[in-house]
Amino acid sequence: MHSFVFMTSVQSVQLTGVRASNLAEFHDGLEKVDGSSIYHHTHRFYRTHSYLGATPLSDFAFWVRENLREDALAEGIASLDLRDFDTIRDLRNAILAVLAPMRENPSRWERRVPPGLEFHFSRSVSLILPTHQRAHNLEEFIRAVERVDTSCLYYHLIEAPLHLQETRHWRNDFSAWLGGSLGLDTLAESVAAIDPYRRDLEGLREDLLNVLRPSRLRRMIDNILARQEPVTGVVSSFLRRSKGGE
Amino acid sequence: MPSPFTSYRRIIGPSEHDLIARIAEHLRGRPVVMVNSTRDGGGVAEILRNMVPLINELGIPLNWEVIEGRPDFYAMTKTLHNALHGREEPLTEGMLRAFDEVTERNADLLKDALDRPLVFIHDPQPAGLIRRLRKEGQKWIFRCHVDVSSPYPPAWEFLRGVVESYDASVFSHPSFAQRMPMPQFLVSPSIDPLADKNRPVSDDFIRKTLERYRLDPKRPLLTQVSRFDKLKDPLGVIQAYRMVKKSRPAVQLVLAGGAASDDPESVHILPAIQEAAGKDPDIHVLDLPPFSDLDINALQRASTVVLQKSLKEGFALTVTEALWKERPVVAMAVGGIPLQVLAGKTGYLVHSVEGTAAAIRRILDHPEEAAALAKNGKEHVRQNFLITRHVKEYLSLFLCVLNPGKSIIELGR
Repeated sequence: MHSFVFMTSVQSVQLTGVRASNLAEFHDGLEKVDGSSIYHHTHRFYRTHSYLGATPLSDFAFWVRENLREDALAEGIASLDLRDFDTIRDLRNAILAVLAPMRENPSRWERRVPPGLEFHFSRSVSLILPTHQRAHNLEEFIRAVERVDTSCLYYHLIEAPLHLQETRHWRNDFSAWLGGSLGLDTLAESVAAIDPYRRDLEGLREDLLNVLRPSRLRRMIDNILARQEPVTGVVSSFLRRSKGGE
Repeated sequence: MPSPFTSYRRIIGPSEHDLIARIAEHLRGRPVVMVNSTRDGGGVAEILRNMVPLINELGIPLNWEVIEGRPDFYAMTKTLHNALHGREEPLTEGMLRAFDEVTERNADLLKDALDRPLVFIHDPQPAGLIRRLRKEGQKWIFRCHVDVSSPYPPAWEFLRGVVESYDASVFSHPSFAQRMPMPQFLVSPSIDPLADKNRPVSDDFIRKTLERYRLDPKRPLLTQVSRFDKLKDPLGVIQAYRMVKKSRPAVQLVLAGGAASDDPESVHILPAIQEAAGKDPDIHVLDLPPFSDLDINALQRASTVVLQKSLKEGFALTVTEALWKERPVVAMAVGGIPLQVLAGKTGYLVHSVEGTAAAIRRILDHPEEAAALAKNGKEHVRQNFLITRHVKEYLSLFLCVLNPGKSIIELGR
């Protein structure tokens, strides 16, 4: 069985020099920048601004709403559910599809923002490195999830599956290890079902622990029942009910 | 006296602290040299003074070198600085000659010091050293602290010619990016929360500082801290103050500044500010000597509103300092300021003298709202603009430059 090494990532932001001052240039930019730019602009707010209590919004939606004043279009971009996309390519195509109908309205398609309010495409270079946390079993895994930095959760549940464009059976690294190495398929499926974008990163930790902790309890119960230790009355019936619940 | 790296642990948390140390492990023993044009005055020298010891403590041998200038060289680089900010100021042949001569002279002086694998040049003044001193296998990084979003084209063409052979360039704002052959990185500057300018000080010290400068602690205080420079628009600050003063007569204004050794223009601006202030006893123009950091700290903490009325900015670390001290900030939407002052979230972003006056009045009338924004502002700085994040991004940048062309760099498992 492989141990799970908790990794984290640091982003170095590169400027591409590609800028847009209207929807036409914005569309062109979206088509030509590389995938790490699409990733950067759709995930930056989520990763860095959750402490402001703001609803995570992509840079794209933010610029279209605040600077182009195209509220409906911004809403269209913001409402794309990032979880629906297994690859950055799919996400890019979806954003382009939201913009495309605006071509029919040349005055809005060509209308420029005032100087200084242009959109500047950037991209991320990810430096990926291990933390000190490792897990060899479920118990250690839960303890690590309780204490790792939120950037670790971000890396394993969002960045690695999406940015690294690894489409696979399990949606994220945690599920892959729980299912593949520990054989806990039910638990792995529950972890895979968590929506990592639903709340901020501390909220994500909470969601994760809410799935993991009951499973730890159930495994303890299974162990007791497997040893057939003498238990009676209320304890016995509780254990049997719990067992049935699995 | 710089603080040891461990002192930052309680401010940034153990995870971030350990992460920086882990990144540094991958650069341990690789010598780096940074070069700029002054050891005191201005934000760059201030950052380097605090950052260099920290990076050394992390096991990366980092030296800091300063070029030697002369008056006609500094006059040229100031003209270049203004022109990069967009002012139509041509560079004369005499100026270009002064630049070349001083660059040659410094290349002689620094040829051994710059014989290191990573050479990190801050701003245009020392940028020409690459022509003489570049060696096989070295990586040269150009760090531009200037707002070059809309430069006077001849000035940018000159600078481009000087820096286009660098391996990477670094800017403080996405809009500063230019079409150049090398990768361009975004790194925001930072403040040191443990330096004299930003560390906590006692109420007693603040009170005594106000007394020393004859300021009334019971009346609202508007403050702009900036070197005396047209681009900081001190006269615009005085105009805004006068608009507020009409209906809120209790307000006092402090314009606290000084001169930097590489800025010959600053000595000419001060008399103009004093003239504009006239005989108003509530306008206090404080020409502070270098190393007045504790006084600036106290003045910022005592301020009801901190202003940054700049017409152009690289980044405006004075805004960062004020946000870190949880002060309400009114600042112009120029350069790197909108990265710090998120309108309606961490402060008040304005575009004119009138807007500045209106925002000041709003803060005076709605102190609870201003306090809530100021609280957000402090957290925003903690997450994004402290020296530890800056160190982390520079170390990451070094690793990117040493691994060119990669989008993902794996540092062990």
